[in-house]
Amino acid sequence: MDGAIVEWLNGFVGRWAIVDAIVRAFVSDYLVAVFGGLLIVSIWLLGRDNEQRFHSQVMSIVGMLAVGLTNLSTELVNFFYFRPRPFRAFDLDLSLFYPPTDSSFPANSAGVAFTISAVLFMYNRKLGWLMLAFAVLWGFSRVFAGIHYPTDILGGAAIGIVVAFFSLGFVRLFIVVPLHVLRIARLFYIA
Amino acid sequence: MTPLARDYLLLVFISAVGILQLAAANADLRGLLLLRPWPRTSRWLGTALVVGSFAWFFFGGTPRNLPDTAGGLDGNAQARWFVVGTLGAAVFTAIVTSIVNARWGIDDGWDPGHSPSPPAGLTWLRRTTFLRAFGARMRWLARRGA
Repeated sequence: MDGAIVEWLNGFVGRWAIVDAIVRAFVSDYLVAVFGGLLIVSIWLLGRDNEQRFHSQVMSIVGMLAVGLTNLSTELVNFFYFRPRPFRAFDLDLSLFYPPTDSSFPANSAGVAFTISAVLFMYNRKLGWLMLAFAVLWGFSRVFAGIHYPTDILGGAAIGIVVAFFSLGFVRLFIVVPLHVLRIARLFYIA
Repeated sequence: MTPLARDYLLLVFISAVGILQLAAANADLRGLLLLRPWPRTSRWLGTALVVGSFAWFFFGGTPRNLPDTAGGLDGNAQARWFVVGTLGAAVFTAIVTSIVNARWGIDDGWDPGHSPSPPAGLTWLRRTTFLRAFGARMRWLARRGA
C-alpha cells in the first residue's frame, strides 16, 4: 500500500512543468525549514506589551527547543532502525530531487515542519494553519518526488507533534530559567 | 563557503529582515521600522522582502536540490547559517533603523526625575530607537557603577 501510493504519485512527475517546478521548490531541504524558522523568530517581537510579549518569547523558545529535540529524536530512531528509500525498491523518476542515502523512516523534514506547526498552533491558530499547510505540502512533495513513503511522513509528523508538547511541558516546568534570561534580555532591549 | 551556502545565507538574511519588518509593524514597534512614518507600507516592504528572496532562491533557475556531498548543505550547516543570517538581520535592523530614525525618538516618554531607570523591554521601542534606548541603559549602568 505504502509503495503503491509512492509509485502512483511519482508517475505524475514530468507531466506538468508547473507542478514539477512547485514540487521542486517544496521538496527542497530549505524552503519549509527556513519559512518555519522565520515564523518562530518573528513571534519573538509580537505582543501588545511586555507581558504579552513574554508569552510570545516563551513560545519562540519552545519552538527552537522543539526543532532541536525533533532532530535528535529522528537521529536516535535512525540509529536503531534503517528503512531503505522507496527508489531502492521501485523504479521511480528521481528528476525532482537527488537520491538521499540516509534512512527513509522517520522523515526528519516532516518532523521539523510538524513540530513548528504544533508549537505555532499552541500560540496562534492562524499561524499554526499556515505552517500546517506548508508542512503537508512538504510531506506530499517528498512522496511525490519518490524519496519517502507516506508512513515516513506520518512517523516524522507524530514525532514532531509529541516533541512539541514535550518541549512546552519542559519549558513550563523550568519556567524560572527563561524568566530570568528574558528579564536580563529586556534590560538590553533584546526581549 | 560554497555558492549554495552563500545564496542560502543571503536568503535567510533578506527574508529575516523582511519578517522582522512585518513583526515590528504588527507589534507597533516603530523604532524598528525602516519606513517608520508608514507602518502599513512597512508591512508591504516586509512581505516583498520575504516573497522576493524566496522567489529568487527557489525559482531563479539555479539548481538548489543538491546532496551535501556535491555542494549542498547538511543539517548542521543549514542550522549554523540560519543562526548567522537571522542574528545578522536582527543586528542590521537595530542599527539601520536607529540611523534612519535618528531624528525621531528624542521625546521617548522617560522622565529620569520620576523613574531613575530607563523603561525595560522592547515596548519602549514604540517611542524611541534601539541605539537610543541601549545608550540610555548603558549610561544608567555606568552611573550605578560609579
